[in-house]
Amino acid sequence: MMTEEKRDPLIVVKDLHVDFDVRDGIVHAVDGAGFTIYRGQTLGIIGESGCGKSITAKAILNMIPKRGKMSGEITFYEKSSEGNGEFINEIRLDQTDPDGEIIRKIRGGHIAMIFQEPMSSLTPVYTAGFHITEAVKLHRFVGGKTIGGQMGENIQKKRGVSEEEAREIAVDMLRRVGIPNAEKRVNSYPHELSGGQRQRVMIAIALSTHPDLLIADEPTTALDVSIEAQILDLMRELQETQDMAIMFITHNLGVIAEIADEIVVMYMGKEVERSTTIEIFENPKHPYTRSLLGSIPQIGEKKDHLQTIEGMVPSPFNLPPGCVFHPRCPDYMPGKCDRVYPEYAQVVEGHWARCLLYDGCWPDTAEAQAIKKTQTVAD
Amino acid sequence: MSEAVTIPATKTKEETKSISQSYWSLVWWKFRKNRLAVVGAIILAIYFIACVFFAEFFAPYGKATESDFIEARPTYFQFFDEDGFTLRPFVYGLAEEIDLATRSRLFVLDKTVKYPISFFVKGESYKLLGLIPTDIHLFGTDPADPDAKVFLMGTDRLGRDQFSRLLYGGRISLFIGLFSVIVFLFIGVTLGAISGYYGGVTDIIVQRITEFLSAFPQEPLFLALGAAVPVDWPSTRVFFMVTILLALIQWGGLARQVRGLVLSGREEQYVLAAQSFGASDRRIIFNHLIPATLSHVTVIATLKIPNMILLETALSFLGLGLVPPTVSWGTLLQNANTVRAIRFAPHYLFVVPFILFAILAYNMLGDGLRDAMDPYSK
Repeated sequence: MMTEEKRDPLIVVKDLHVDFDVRDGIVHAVDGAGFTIYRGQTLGIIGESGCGKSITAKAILNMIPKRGKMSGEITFYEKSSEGNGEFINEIRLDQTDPDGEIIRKIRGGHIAMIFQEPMSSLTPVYTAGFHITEAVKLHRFVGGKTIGGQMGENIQKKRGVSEEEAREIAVDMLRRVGIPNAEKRVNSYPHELSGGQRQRVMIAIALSTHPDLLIADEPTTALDVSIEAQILDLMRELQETQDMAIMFITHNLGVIAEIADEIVVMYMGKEVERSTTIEIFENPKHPYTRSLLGSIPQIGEKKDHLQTIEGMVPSPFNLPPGCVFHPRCPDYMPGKCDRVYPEYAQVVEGHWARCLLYDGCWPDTAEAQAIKKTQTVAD
Repeated sequence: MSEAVTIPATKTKEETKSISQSYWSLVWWKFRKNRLAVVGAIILAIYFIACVFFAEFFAPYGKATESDFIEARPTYFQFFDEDGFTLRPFVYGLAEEIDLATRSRLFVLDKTVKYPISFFVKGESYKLLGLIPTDIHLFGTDPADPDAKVFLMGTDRLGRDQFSRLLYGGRISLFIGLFSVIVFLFIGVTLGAISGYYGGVTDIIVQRITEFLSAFPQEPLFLALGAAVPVDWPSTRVFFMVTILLALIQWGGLARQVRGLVLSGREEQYVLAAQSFGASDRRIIFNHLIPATLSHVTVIATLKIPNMILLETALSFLGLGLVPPTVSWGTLLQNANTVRAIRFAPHYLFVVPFILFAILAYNMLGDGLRDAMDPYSK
């Protein structure tokens, strides 16, 4: 893995909360997520369905549905080279106007996103080429692109890409994502393309603007395994050539092991563990991660039943007290886990977790310390 | 033997073609198979050629050319005379007669006089398509003889040829149908899409307006609006006013349908995808959502045109839409609004089949388009 000083932060998320006020109460879709995406690296986010992965991704693009409330900090470090020096602009994405020009320049231009369903991500009435040229014309400017200061006082507009240039880019991008006969396929409508080809087109759109970050929200879930492998190879290859960071959201541990440098594990909107991919797989700290890893079927091992995580995901309106995972946890400590809410702490160098098994996660309140002591005595 | 060879050959040809077929070529392919719709399209094409583009050429007389023959009966083309069949058609002359019961003058056919019909005959001069000056008409009688006239559908109270006037009137009526549908589409689609996309207060306001419009009885509303058009306005301005009025009253239904389509469309992932690539609301509405509703809207528009024509006709008939001297099917039908007219000059009713065929053709075309554009129909 990379050394600390070479890592160059691109997106820093701090204490992100997203709440939805619905009829039955308030849902904490994301409840305290915090991570850093480094330039050129891949961050994997795993978790069960409904644990807030996709909402986290949308929060980065400031695309939370209107009913949702977002708090916390999301900072985007934009590298711009003007004149002779390179400097870094800090843009607080959570404070931009969700319909404003700044965030619209960032969406697609600096942060692109691809979705789970390639079948429905392309507007059915437009050709593949149109989609790419639309993105290119919105975001690529001849002579580089620049977004101004904090609140956009000095947004610079360079000459846009012309129709022919955009078309050339479209054909070139389709070729790069491995679509055969790109000159012809550029005129194909979505219904004329296969699922894998559509996802390639989506990737081509996303990459056509040279984004700094690609958010891939379960990009291979709807595809079959061989296409999945091709798409992953493609993303890795393009990542190397374009020096792009990837935020890879999935519930597929096999995929994440292949592509991610660092992994964040989420459960019920909370970040429960974070470390490098090797650490997570070799040495998982949180019982939830262990259970997840345990439920991967192994080749060559004969079992009667596939190991599953006991119980159900709790209702978001009726979260258990203490650690939200305790009703399903194999290492549940009665009297402790159901009373104390664990803090997120570094348990080993470079390895963060949220579990009362580790001393660092106990809150510093007198009450919590008292509970900790009583239980230790009882043991 | 030859069949066995040709069948696979044509099949592979069609297969290779089908790969690159766009939506519209598929629509065209399906549309062509619908006989009724094609007939409708052909009838409309004839209407547009005869009325809208080349009315001056097809009409033997101008729309305001008066003659001495007041409310004359139609003089049809005749092919049989006492000598038998003649290839060249002729018309009988008209003779004045006094009806002793009503003490009024009548013009009836005088079978002793015959005027041969000439084609591509010189008549009143005009500008073809408003550009090319010429005086050739499709048919007519000898221009040198002032008594030789051909009135295929009779004349009106000022002795004007009704057939010519119907062609000119068709221009106005067909145009009104088209223009008001364009305005109607513009208002309905835009407001419907905005209402569906933004929801909330915008939606409530737009929807309450459409409800108000649909709850309000249409005829009194139109009568009131029509009465508000100043009497002294020039006829072109009245024409545009009527066009806009027709659209203003009708857009509600379309706005609701577009709203429904956009409402379901905005939840589609491609809208989210477009948003994630930095598309603005305006771009999403106009470039991504509205095109997806277009097949639906096209059909509504085609079916709406006859509606607009009928509405215009009805209003002009009541004297609240277009007024003479503007010639439209509605103002022509106004001639037939007395019992006397129907009793003594039934040819005024020739305007009815004219309207009828136009409406039927539009409906046939619209139905065909709907079947062809529906991706779920087989």
